[in-house]
Amino acid sequence: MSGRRTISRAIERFVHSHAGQLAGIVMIAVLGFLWLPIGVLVFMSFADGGVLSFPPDQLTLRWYGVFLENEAARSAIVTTLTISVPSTIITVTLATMTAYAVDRYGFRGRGTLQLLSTLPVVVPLVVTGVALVLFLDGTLGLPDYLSVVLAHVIRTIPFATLVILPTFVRFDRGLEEASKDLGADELATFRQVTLPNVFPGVVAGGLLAFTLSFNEFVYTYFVKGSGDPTLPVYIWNQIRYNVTPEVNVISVVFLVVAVTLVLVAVSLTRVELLTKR
Amino acid sequence: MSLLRVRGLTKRFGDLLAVDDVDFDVADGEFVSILGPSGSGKSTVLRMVAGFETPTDGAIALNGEPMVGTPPFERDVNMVFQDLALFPHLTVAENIGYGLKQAGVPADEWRDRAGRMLEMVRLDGYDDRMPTELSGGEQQRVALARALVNEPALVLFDEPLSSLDRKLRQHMQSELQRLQAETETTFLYVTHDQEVALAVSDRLVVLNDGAIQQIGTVEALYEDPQSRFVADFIGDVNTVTARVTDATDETITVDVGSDRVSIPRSVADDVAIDASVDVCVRPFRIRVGPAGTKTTEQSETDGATADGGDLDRATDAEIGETFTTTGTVRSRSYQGSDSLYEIATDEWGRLTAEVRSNAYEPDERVAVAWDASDVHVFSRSADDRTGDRGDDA
Amino acid sequence: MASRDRLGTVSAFFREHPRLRTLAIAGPPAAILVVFFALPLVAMLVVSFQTGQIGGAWTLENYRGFVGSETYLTVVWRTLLLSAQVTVIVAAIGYALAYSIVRFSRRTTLLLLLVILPFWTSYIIRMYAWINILQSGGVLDSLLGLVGLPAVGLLYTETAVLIGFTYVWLPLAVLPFYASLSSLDPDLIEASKDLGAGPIRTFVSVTLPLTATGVITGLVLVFIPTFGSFITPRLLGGTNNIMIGMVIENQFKSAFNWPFGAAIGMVISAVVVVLLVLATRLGGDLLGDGGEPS
Repeated sequence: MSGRRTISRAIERFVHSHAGQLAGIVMIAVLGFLWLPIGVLVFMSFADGGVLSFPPDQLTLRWYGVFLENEAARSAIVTTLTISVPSTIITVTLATMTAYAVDRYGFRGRGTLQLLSTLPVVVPLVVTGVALVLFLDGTLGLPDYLSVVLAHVIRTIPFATLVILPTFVRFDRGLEEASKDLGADELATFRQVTLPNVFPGVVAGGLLAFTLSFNEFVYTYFVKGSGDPTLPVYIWNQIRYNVTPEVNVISVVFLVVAVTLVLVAVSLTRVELLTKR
Repeated sequence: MSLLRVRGLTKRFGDLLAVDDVDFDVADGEFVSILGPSGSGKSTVLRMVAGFETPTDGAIALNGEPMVGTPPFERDVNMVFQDLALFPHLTVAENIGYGLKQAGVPADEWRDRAGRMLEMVRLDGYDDRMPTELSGGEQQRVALARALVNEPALVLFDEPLSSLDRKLRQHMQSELQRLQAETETTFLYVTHDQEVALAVSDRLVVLNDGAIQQIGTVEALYEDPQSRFVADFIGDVNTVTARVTDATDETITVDVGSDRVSIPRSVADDVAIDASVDVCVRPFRIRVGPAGTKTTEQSETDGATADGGDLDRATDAEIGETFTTTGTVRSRSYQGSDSLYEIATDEWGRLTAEVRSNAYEPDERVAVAWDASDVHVFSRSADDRTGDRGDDA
Repeated sequence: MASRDRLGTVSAFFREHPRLRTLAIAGPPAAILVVFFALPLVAMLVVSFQTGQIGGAWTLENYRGFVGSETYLTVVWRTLLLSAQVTVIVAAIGYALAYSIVRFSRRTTLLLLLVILPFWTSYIIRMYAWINILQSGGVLDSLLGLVGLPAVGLLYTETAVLIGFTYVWLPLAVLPFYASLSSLDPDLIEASKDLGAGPIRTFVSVTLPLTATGVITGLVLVFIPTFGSFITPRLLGGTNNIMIGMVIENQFKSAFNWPFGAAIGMVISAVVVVLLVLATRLGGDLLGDGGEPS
């Protein structure tokens, strides 16, 4: 078996001495894979001529103009905002309460609450979307608007909680004790000491929740009636029935908004919050 | 031929020169310690011997075979890590047998050898326990067993005892010596703690700022330090600045404060006239007596013989003069058999004296003396910044 | 200062009744989650036993019709296969990427950001980008043409669906892998090499077992959403690549047989639950505690 040993030794040696290079290749290749389509979108948004032709004949800002003029697209944006802003506020409030309760109090349903907060990520969107429609339309008969806002809340709570909870966990309780020692009661302490310190995490959670809600498609697609579409639903319709380069423009606008929001969120906390437990 | 030969070993990290042209040998069966303060490069040297860093320059040879370029998993060297690095997902026996398994040793054989190794480190029957269940001292021994069981040519130690409490550390020190003798392995041990190094080593390699200061046995380094750094680092030392006024083949004469003393040549570096030098003396060599004791007076003094000789007296060894001065006791520290006195002398700065008596009180005036043959004299380097204060170690 | 007094009284009140305080804080989020997440799933269960529309007669026909139909079962099976393929591909690439970032990168935060950012953009848009790339005469074909290779027109093939899913879930999968790998003590890897194991054997014997929890979390995070997905197969796979999620969507938006759609939804949920239980048993911890022994 010495032949096999020699081969395996040679392979190990190779990997050992070239580990850094191999890692570099992996990183470049995968990151390239992740950002290439985005690059394509941005590039194509400046393309003249039909979507189907690549490379484009000319570059133009025309489609940006068209987008700005487009009534339907503009109203879709407004619709999206009227849903995303309230739902984000609700989500952040609920997520903060969850984080506070889970971090501070031991209570019987604690594990369940944590589980419930995380589940919407794991359960297939289509299942929850369907369930929501059945419940909100068929059973509760809530108006469309409220249904969609609640759907967005459900969709975004796991992510907001995921970001806000560690902020509470890392918060130095000694500060609260000092505050109480100096005479402030629980509510006052929360308002004047805890909240300001936890605030960056809360804002980050809010920004991430907003980004998700802004981009949310599946729940909205199911829950919303035939009324004014949100932007993602609008795009879906465009793509399904009638593709124009304008869709590229909308995509780029979306991207810029999402990237900006996430960058702001990250600068308020650290990305590691999303990955470390 | 020595087991390990290190020649011209150098390591640069960007602009930082961490290891500077280091040469040393380790003979088969020796217990050598690399001793140095934090940042001295000692861990880097060790890691280069283990294969985790690549030298910028220099050669490392094990049994005559060059090692640079060989990956760590192909070197006949095993290391005991500072944080032990026991595999948490494997049992104690699996940890110990890991290296044997990698070498292709069949299961029953490595289990057997791991078991015997456990007996040797006095952890019989611990085979199926998990590392997290063990105490600090037990984990130490498992880490040791894991390295020794492979019977490597050389075992490396990266300050493994630094996290243990004093009693346990002392116990482990003697365990290390015992195991080394029993297994007849060669040990290369890195530490910043001189107490440990002095206790276990055959020879010491003293490093500072990446460069070798001195290599030798413990006695040699203690009795005959080649630099102020070594004198200061091994044991404690007081330093007084002086200026050379004369030098002959047998003595050099220095001005220290307003005194002039003649020192035997044997204890001094090569020094030039008019050069500024450090005169170093160990605390236990300093004699303390009540103030007002003159050099010719008979007196009760401490630190010499019980019959109370003069502060100024010839030693049996060489003819030399004596350093004498007066000062005020600043603090006293009772050590049991001795007391440590910190004394602010009138002209020579602060000195620490270690004497048998507990008699002197803070703020008391005392006379202080030591023999010129008990000092070590070193040239001051250009960047010596101690001034005339005179430091103790 | 009447308001301050009032707040003070509130504080005092809750101090006296800690249970009520917990209820006041944990209650609302719990209530919202139960009412608008858990209950709807129950509603779906109920509807799945009705006929034709909500409020119809009770029946098992929905389930019988689904489970008894070879066509539908084939769809489920193919969906499982496809999801498994996607999971394996994403896990392999994602783990390799996480490993490279943890062990070999200096600007880790920046790299993580670059990996995660695409995830926060719209799913639809990411799919749309791939339509652009994969269609006949699209970006991919043009690039192939430049190098002299024949065009492939990957759109509406199973490969396109695979690519689409991989693209969407990769950033999400990297997160638990990264979390696991970054809490691994690098000394353990060095110790393994010191004892004679090369990098590959060290990976198999030390790194992989100690990051198993993260791996399982990642696998679950990819498999389950893929299993229920309908957007990607619709946009990139066309009519040839039907996944079970598409069938559900169809029942709700075109066929308007909501109970039948609900039944299929329940079947999917059952699969999800089984997988989650298996994963938890295998040591995956989805509640976010990590759980690596250290």
